[in-house]
Amino acid sequence: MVDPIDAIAHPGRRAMLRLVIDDEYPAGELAERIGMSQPATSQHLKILRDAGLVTVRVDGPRRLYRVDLHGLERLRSELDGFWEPSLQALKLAAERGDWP
Amino acid sequence: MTDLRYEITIRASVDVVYRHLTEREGLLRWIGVEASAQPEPGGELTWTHENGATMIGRFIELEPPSRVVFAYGWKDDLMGVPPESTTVEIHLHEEATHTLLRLTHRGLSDDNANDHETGWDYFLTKLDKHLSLP
Repeated sequence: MVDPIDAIAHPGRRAMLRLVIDDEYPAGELAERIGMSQPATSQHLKILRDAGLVTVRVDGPRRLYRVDLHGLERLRSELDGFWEPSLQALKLAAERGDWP
Repeated sequence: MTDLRYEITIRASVDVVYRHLTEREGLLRWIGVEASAQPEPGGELTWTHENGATMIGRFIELEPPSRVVFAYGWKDDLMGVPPESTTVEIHLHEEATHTLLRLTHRGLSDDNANDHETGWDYFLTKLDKHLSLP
């Protein structure tokens, strides 16, 4: 399992995700549109799949990639919760009363 | 525009909370294993989390002890947020028994993402659109 936040940290993967939000694409066409090699594209697609952000559908000889909206929603909750652990840590530190 | 907003109450004085936000020793108590802070407009602000991720920012406005605004981003453009590319604003309000802290994180959006077409806001807007489809 790849952390979706790490998955989306790469500009190339964000570009891919942007394409597959609107439509499904075979890896070859994604590679072409983004200007990446096929092997690099496959690597990045694997990371996006492991992060649950992209799903694949087999259509005869073709494998078509599309965004996984549930994954994208999980990513959003993670982003929404971004500051929460830090603020809890701040609360604990400030309430400890031993500083300054 | 994607703003993240948070609110939390802390049973400590505004001064104590403010110092946790603006002094190196304070930051080391809750957010970083390493930190630097020059609490003046334009002053450096950085911290490194336990996992090694380093926030690189800069103080923009300070109104001790009730308000601090700083630029915020990540070394190596982690999460697609380059150093100083977003803004965090924190308000502290003293209540009878505690401090109310309000944090707004702005700019994880089209406005100043380098590759704005693939910034956070793009995805979140798209997501909302998809989720609201019948």
